Formats: sequence, C-alpha cells, structure tokens
Amino acid sequence: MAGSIMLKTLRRNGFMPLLVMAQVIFALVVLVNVGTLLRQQLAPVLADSGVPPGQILMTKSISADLASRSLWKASDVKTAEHAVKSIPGVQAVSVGAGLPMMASGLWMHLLPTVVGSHIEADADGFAGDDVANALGLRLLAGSQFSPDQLVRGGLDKVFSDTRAVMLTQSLARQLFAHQSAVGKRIWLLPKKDPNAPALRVVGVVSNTLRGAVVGHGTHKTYNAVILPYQLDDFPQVAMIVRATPQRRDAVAKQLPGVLESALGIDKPGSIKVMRYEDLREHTLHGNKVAALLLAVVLLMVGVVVILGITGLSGFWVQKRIRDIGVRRALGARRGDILRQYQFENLAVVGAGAVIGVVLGLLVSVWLQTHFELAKPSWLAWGLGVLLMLLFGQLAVLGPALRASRVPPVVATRAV
Amino acid sequence: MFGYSVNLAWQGVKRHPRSSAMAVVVMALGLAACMTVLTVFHALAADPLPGRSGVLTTVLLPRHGEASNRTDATLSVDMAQRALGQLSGVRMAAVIPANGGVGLADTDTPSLSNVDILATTSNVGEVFDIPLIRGRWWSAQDDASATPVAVISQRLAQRLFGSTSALGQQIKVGGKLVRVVGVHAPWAPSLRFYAQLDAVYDRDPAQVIMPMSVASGLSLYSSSTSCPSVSLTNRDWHSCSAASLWAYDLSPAQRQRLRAVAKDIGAHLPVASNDTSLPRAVKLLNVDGWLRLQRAVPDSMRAYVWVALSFLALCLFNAAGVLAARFMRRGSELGIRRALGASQRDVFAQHLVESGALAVLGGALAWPLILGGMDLLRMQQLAYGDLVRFDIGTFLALCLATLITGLAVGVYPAWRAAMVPPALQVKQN
Repeated sequence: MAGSIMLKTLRRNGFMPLLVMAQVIFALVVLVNVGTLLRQQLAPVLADSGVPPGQILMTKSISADLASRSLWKASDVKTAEHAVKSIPGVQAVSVGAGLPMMASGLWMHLLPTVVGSHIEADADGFAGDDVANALGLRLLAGSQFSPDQLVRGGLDKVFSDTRAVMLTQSLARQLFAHQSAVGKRIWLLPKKDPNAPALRVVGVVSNTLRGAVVGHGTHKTYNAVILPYQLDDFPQVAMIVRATPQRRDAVAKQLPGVLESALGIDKPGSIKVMRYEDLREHTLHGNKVAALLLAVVLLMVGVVVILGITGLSGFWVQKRIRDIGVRRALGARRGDILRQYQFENLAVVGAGAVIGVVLGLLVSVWLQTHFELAKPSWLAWGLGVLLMLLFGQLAVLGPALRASRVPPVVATRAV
Repeated sequence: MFGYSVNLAWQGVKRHPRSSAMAVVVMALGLAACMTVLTVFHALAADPLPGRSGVLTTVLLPRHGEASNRTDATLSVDMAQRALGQLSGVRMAAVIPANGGVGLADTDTPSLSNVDILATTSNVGEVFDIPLIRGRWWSAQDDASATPVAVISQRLAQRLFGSTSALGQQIKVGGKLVRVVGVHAPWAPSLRFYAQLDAVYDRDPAQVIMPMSVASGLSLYSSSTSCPSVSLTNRDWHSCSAASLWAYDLSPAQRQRLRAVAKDIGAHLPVASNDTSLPRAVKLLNVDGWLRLQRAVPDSMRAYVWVALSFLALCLFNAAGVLAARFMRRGSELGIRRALGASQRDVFAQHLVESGALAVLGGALAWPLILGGMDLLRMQQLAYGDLVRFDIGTFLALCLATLITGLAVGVYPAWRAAMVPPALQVKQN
C-alpha cells in the first residue's frame, strides 16, 4: 500500500526522477566500461610473473651490428651460452627470440589453433634452445624437448619446420579444456587445409607472462607457446639467464663483459642486462599511469553522481516540505518519511540501472560485432548496479534525514 | 533587453555560488574528457596523405566467397614486377617496407642500424607525392637493370654527410654500395599506411628509398606475413609475399586493365600444399578502405570514445539537474516577474543566458584541462604522441561543443521556468 503511494508521487513529479535516472544510466555505462578497462590495464601489473623471484636476468636484444656482422650464427650463440654457463652461480641459459617483455625486440604473435577445429587462442611465442628451463618454469605434464626436435635456422624456419611445442597451463586449458594437452596437435596459425603439417604438444609448463603484456591481447596474460629453436643466421638475439638468488647481482655485473668477449663485441657497455623484475616494472610503467588515470575517472564519476543525486533530492525534499508536514500531522512517523525517500531513491536508481544495463549490453554487442574489444563481464555489470544503488542511498541519506526532521507543525504554516 | 537578461543571469549565478561552481566544474570535466579522447581519435583516424588518399588504389586478391583478409594485398617480388610490366603507362609502384643497417662507404660497420628502408620501383615519387629537394628519381631502366642507386631523406643525408652534399656519394645499405641520386624532403605521412599490417601503429618514415630489384639480395629485413622477419639474402625470399601495389589516379580504362592483370596474377598465384585453392577475386581499395581493413586505429580507442561520450552525457545531465533545481526554486519570484509583465520569452531568455554563461565558463575551464590531458598522453610515449596537439580545429570544436552543451543543459530547465503560471505562483505565497 505504502509503495503505491510513493510511486504515485513519483509519477506526478516526473522531471526530477527522470534526471536522476538519466544520470544513473550514463554513470553505470561509464563505470562498468572504465572498470573493465582498468582491470585490463592492471591485469599484467598484478599478475604473478610465474618465474622464480630473484633469479632471472635478461639482456636487451644484442644486434649483430655490434660485432660488425650482419647475422649471428649458431656457433656464436653456442659460444656465448657456454661462456655464460661458466660464470659461478649461473644455473641455466637460453638465447631466444620473442621473449618475455619482447626483450629480443621481436613480437612473435601467434594464433595457436587446434588441428581440424575452430578453437584458437591468442598467444605469443618464445623461441629458444632452453627457454622454459632458463625461465625456471615447472613442467606440469609431458616432457621437455628432445634434442632432435630442435629446429635450426632463421626465424622463417620456426614457422615451417617446428614440429614440437610446449604450452603454458593457461593456454593448454583454453585450447583443450580439461583434456590433457600432451600429444595433441596444433597449428601456430589457423590453416584452411586439414592436412597441413601440425605441431605436437610435448609438454605443459607452469604459467608465465606472455611477450606482449602491453597493448594488444593484454586480456590473456599467460598465453605463451614455447618453441624449440636454435638461432642461426639471425640479426639480433636476447638472452635469459637464471642464477642462484645469492649470486644474481654478481652475475649481472659480469654478464656484459663475458658476452662481449664471447661474441667479439669491442664496444664496452653496448649490452644491457636487466633483472626480470626491473624489466617488467619498466615495461608496465605505462599501464600503471593509465590505471591511475582510469581510477581517477572512476572516482570522478562517483563524486559527480553522488553530488548530482544529493542536489536533486535536496531540492525535491524542499519542494515537498508541506506535504511531509501534512503526512507527519496525519500520523506518519519519522522512520516512515525516511524510508519513503530511501525507497523512492531505490526505485528510481534501480530503474535507471536496469535501463543502463540493457543499453550498455546493446552497445557492447554492437561494438563486439565490429571491433575486437574486451566485453565487460556479467559480474562487472552486477557490481556496477550494486555500486549505483549504494551511491544512490548515500546521496539520498542527507536529504532524507532532513525530510524526516520536518516537524508536523509545518502543515499549518504557509511555506 | 539582452543586457537586462545578462544582468539577471549574473544575479542568479551570484546567488548560488556553490551550485554554479559545481555546474561549471562538471561541464568542464565532461568537455575536457570528451575533447581529449576525440582529438586522439581524430589524429589516429586522420588521412595519412591529405588530398591524395582517395585516389591511391591498392589491389587485394581475396579468395572467392571469403571476407577480405588483411594479407591479401601482398604479392611476391616477382609477381609485383610482373604486374608492373603488364601495366605500363599506369602510375603505379610496388612497395616493400624493410629495414637494415646503413653507413658510409668506407666503413665496415653500418653507423646506423635498423633504418627504415622502402624497396620500391621508379614511379614511387609520383605515386606517393614524395617531394625531392635535390637530384632525381631513378628510371625504369634502373629498375630493370638493378642499378645500385637510392634516394635518401634529408635527415639521413645530414647525419651521414653533414653539410656536404650527399648527391653522387656512395653509401652502404645492407652491406652493399649504392649511389645517392636524390634527397627527399621530410615526407612523413601521419601513418606509414603502406606498411600497415595487423593493427600495428607505425609512423617512422622511410629514410632510404631504393629500387626493389637492388634491395633483393641485400642484407635487409622485411616483415611480411608469409615469412615473418625474413632476410632479403635468404633464398626463400623470392617466394615471400611482401610487396603491395599502389596506383595513383586511375582512369576507368586503367582500372579495367588493372583488374584484368590482377585477375591473371590471382590465377597464377602459387598454390601451396596447405592451400585449398579457391579462385581469387580482385578487389581495389583506396587508402581509407585499406587502413580500415588493417585496423590502423586501435580498437581500444573506440572503446575510449564511447566511454568519453557517455561521461559527457553524465556530466550534462548532472549540470542540467543542478540548473533545473535552481530555476524551479525561483518559481514564486518568476511568478511575480510574469505578473509584472515579463513575457514568457523574457523569462526563457534570462535562463538560457544564465545556463549559457555557465557553459562558457565550463568551456574556458576545460581548455587547460585538455592541455593537461594531452600532456599526460604524450608522457606515455605512445607511437602517436606527437600527433596529439591542441590546434585551431580542436579549439573550434571545443567552442562548438560548449555551445551545444549550454543549449542541451539550459533549454529544458529554461522552458520549464518560462512555463510557470504567474497567478498560481503568486497565490501560493
């Protein structure tokens, strides 16, 4: 009964509730989308890197130009790896291309596809002779690469000759759901011919950050494919070194000199070695700035909405002060008035939120058909609606309390 | 009369300093967010070669019955050369973006590594409208006979030779000596549209432009889709699809010829073992269509545009609410004004001026906010950072947006205020 009276008053004074509703609709759309973008930016910042802490060192790409050469040969790579392995404290070494944080200056972007199906996933390739070991990844299923699976040559060989791969756990799950990935066949890029040569998954390793953690495809942070690959005839290489935590800083100091002499580079200081953690920090700086900006936007939306609703509710209470007085005089208690305004707000904000969700979903479906965008999840919409209801209640609390304090005697006064 | 309206509006603003400030700040925030994002979007979606993009045409060879693929435009070097040979008289060039080391003739180590190189054919200057400062372009004979020549940028000429003229000098590109025959003026299309592939935003202009026939076999690198990052010395290089064809200002007859030749090439494309050889269709695209196919504007940018527009809408409704509450609060006062003879139009004008004035203040406050936002964007070292700038166009757009904001926020509340029936309001008191 009480509810229907409240709705009647709402209908009679339509303009203010409509303005509140409009604000709620747009605030919800902004809130949910900005929240989704914020989550995307923060995902690689907050994600566990998956490498053992305090152990990994990486070089930036080492160009063959530095040794007055146009290409590195496999023998150069071997020599360099051998020299690095002899530094005390070094546990594993691998030269590679398309490494984490794109340290090699190359982004090996793949679309691993299950042979004979349309199941594909966006992932980055790490090609190298011992990448999984050097990154300290744990083997969860299957086996390591056998020496005869190692492909030797320029980068084009990776695409034509590789027959064995390892996947991260997250990628294996996306491609094969709960089945075991070991022994399954995939392509690195979608193919039209079902008989195209395929690659066999030999092992599944623990998750680690993919190559491009910034920009495209940031939504699948752990999707990486590891390819057995002996670099040969390649213009630039990068190196991953795993050392014991106690010795890592000492190794970092020695590493440039050792590499320069092993590779015949006579320009001191041309090889840059970074700790994995620092490289990650450096790469993700932009994400942190963007996340901060988005957080400020979220805060602003909250403040604008709360102030807006407070202002409108305050005005509305003031306008109906006589009505409130009359209701009080007729026996309504303070709590009744308070609850009336709170309920009104709940109804208006709730209606706005529902419209906002519908509109937002329509727009997002339309965007999905044209562009590759991450869609806000149901959870995000749910959280957004809850947050809007909370904002609405916060905003109306002041005016509603003021309304409840209106004395019944107001009914007898002219306002 | 207008002066009186302004005066009344000013009185109104003064009487509610807090809500005025709030409306101004909220409108400024909305305008600033929206304008910043739209500026970036505009910069990204801008025509890379103003005035020329519409008449530059590239050829795609998608399979029949399938949507165009992003890689359909790239042909192998031999295919591209064959097409050019059959289309004499058409202003057309084949282009392969590559990179590699460049240095002076007498040094073994290239002094500059990873220089952007455009391997192309003699017509390229005419097709892309690349202005020469000195020298000339090479000739079609040079293309055929693989004469080692190159046209370099003014910047590269300065870096290599300082103040002495680069013309006629030898430089080493990818390990081989070539003679500089021309120096081109800074030619920086806002996007390296000819090298766009797979949504990677790239702007670095070519420093060295040289015949494709010379570049094949040099120690350079080209990233094509069929052979990622392949060296041009590699024996497989000739089967890689790295070249795209660009034609300028085709007449209808030339279009027909181009279609015919492309169709012929499509029919003779090598059929790989993993290819279910569907016949090829021919599709001609201008720069705009090509860039859309390559998704040159990052998709995330479109999400930001939507969010910014929603944010602006939120801010506008907010400001409208503030103003409506304020105007309606004056009901009795307006009733008296109306009873004393003010027309509905006067009351409407008064309130529109008041909301308009607040919108102008909001616009003025948005200006420094936009500048700050752009600085923030540039600090992020985006590839397109320096395209984002506040120019006269942005300013005019801001003015227009402010005007629309003022109207959108003010008209309905002002109309409500003007509709106040005088008798009722006076009686209520």
